[in-house]
Amino acid sequence: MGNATETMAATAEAEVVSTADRTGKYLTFRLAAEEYGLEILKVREIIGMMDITQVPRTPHYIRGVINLRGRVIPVVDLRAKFEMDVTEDTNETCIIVVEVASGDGEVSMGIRVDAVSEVLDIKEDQIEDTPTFGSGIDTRFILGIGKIKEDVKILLDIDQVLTEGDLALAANLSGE
Amino acid sequence: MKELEKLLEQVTADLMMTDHEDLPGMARLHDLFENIIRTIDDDANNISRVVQNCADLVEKIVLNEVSDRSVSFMAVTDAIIGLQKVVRGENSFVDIVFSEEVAIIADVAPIMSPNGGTASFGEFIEAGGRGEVAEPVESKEVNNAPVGEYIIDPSAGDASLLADFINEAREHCATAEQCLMDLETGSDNNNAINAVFRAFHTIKGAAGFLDLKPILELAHESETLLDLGRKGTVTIEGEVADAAFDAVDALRKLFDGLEQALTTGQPFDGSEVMFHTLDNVKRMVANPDDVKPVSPDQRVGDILVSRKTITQEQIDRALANRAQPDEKLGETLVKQGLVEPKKIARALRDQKSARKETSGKAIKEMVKIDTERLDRLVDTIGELVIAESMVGHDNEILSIASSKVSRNIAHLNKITRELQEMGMAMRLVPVKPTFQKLARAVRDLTKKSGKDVDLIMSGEDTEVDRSIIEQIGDPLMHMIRNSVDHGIESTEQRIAADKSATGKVWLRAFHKGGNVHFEIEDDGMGLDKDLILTKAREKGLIDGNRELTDKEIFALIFHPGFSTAKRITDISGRGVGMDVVKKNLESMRGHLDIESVSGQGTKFTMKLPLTLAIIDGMLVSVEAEKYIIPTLSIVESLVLTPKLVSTVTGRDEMVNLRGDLIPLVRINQLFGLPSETTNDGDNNTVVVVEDSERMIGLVVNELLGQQQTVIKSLGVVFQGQKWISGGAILSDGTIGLIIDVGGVVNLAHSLRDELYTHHEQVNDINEIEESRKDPDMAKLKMETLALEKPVSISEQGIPL
Repeated sequence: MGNATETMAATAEAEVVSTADRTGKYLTFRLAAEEYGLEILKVREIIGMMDITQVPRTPHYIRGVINLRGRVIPVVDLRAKFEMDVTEDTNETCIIVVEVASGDGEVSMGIRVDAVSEVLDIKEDQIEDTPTFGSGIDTRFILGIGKIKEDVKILLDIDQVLTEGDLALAANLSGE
Repeated sequence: MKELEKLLEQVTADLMMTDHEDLPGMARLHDLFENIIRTIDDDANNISRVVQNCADLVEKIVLNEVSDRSVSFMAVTDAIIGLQKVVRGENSFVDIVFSEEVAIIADVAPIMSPNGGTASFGEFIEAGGRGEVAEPVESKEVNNAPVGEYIIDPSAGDASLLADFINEAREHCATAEQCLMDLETGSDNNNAINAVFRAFHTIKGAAGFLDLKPILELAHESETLLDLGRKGTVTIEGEVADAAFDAVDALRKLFDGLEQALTTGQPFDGSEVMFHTLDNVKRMVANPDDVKPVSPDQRVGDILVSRKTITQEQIDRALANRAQPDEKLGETLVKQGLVEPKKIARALRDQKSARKETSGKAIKEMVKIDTERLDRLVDTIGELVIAESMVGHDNEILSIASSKVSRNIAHLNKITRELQEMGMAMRLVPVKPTFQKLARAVRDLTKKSGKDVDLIMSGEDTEVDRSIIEQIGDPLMHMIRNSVDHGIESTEQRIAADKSATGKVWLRAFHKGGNVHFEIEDDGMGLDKDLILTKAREKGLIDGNRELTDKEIFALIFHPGFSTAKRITDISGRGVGMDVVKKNLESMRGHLDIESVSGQGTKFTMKLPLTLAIIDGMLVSVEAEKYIIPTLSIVESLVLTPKLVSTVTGRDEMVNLRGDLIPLVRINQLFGLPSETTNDGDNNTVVVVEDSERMIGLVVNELLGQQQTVIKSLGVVFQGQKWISGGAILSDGTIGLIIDVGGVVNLAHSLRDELYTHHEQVNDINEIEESRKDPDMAKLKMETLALEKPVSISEQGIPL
């Protein structure tokens, strides 16, 4: 009896600790049938789909690079990154340019999404933690699940999504 | 004698206040001792010898080279007290009881003979030690009282003001140094002296305002010294120039200290930096007549002697017989009828032209701009160029048949191009400051090594991109040091080898063929090919019997740790320099050539692109993609007909280029590009490229033309891969990836390894991709991948 209470207390505490305040504005977008969101503060801009120059011998979720007003930005296909089927671009397809923390600075990267929806105010009490069902997406990527009325938005930790991949990329590609 | 007494008194007074732990105090003592030696007439040889030994011993104490500092210090004290007694006539030299240490100081033991045998030392001293010394020149006493705190406390001032001060003061130091160097090479230029004076003066003023006492003091004394130079009381050369240089260096160290103090918040103790320099300068200011005159050797007389117009004896006699002590040698010789005026005039002219002339350029008005703003401006201009080019190349616009539109677009194009040139020019800086630094280093080096070296610079006004200037300094410095230290022989060796006594080092910069060239040439001993070969064989860098071309032999010196130096100096010789130089150059996409003739000299030539921001490349198309191959790496290109291709063991493809077999790499296969055309060797183009002496042929679809484009880095994401070195924004706004030739060659190698060892295993994600799309294609690729001849490769592979 005592043990159970202790464990419960421990988990409760753990839960409290793990719940940072996630209240804020999120930009929501669509990937296949699901809606995702990412912190608006990390979004630099949204651009329509443009020609992407492929970089040879890179993992398939790296679509390539684009020319953004003179800067070269890599573009990641989130569908590919999450192991979903890759589809053709439509005229709703966009690239969201985000700034992620990488190394000791910030790096601009583009993510290709099916469509961009809206900016939503989501409060902490509307966000639930990710249940650990063996979903395709690594739970590290997910800040939480937001419930707005009836809709479910999967809130992404975009730093994790993009940078964890990069490190692997850099390591993998240094084949010499 | 009275003088000596007074000085010794001073010394004793100081000794009282000092102890063996007081480093600044001992430094003062040391200076006092030096002063004494300089002052007293040398008849009292032994006294000066004792004092000299005391000075040396003090030095050793300071450097902690004695076993027991307090004992040594006592010995010095004893010796001085003893000397005082001798000088006052209270004792004879012999009579003084010397402790063992002092005996060593006085060199007494081996000489003293109690029986007064061989010309009794003591008697000798007695004769000289009591009033038969000529009255020494009256020297003003140097004020050696402790001069206030040398602590720089950053919290006292406004940080941003201090930071600005540091920046400006550093610039003033640079100007001062430059003018001092001009003065040294003989331009009796009042402007230069004034400029140095003003530099110190300004620093002094600012330091006073910011309450930075140590800097203020040093600047003040230096200013005074320069003022004496302005008035003509001293000439800014030799010792005086050295002192001024030292002052500049010390000031720089103080600025560094201040900067450090600002960042760490800890006060900086400038005592060590200040001490020696400050007193040196002060002494010169106080005793201008004591300044040792520059030896007449560097003057007209030398030139005349070397031309056999006159002998050294004649010159000496003429100097001795001069009407006035400061009459110029030339005048004297003419007056005495020894040399024709014509010859004097020619010698003078040659002397002048051999020395650097200060530029008479009017000082341009400059504005200081934050480099960030400048960079942003240049970037924005770059974007404008791209956008304009997109408009100008747009098909729809081109199809408009209006002449007015065409005219306007042409006008737009013209203005944009001008802006682009101006933007690029803004990034250009002359190499002069870098060369000045090198000149200064050579000056210091020649002093240190005792060799006689002339540095001849040309092309200081050559302009290169800022990014290059920052990185070229270190390699140049290292190579110049090498030249002076290992290239140029000592004066004796040179004369023995029938060369001029003065060694020459040339430092040149110029534009050629779209690149900027730096040349460092010396007329020293040259590179010893045999020695290099032997060393290389010893180190196992080459096979015993391989034949190497001269170029390859010289290239061996780039290996880390490679050195043929028989002695390592603190200047160079450790073998850690040349490989770093090479790496530095390669990171700038540059190239280093070596030419050398044993016994005659060596020449290093560095070729660098005009700017790191722009690449000159050949645009090629491969399937649906476009790539850029750097022009620097391209040897030639040719159309590939099936006839030219030969295969080895059905796998490797080669092309026969006038007898040489060049291995082929098919870019489309290497990069896993889906095939859009039916190629298979029909009328493709081969671009033969060179990477570190290896040639390889890259098979592409066609050449699209040469382009100069701005390079953009691909960013951290792609840092790990080595076959694309960056992206260039093409005129239609798309990105052309720039192929890194070395990286592609290595990739080809490693792929081959992979495929041969894991023939069945497809562990390349792209391959999976490919095979998903077209399994036959993937198989075909693996089987026909064209690769170079097998070379032993170590850790290459593509883990994916």
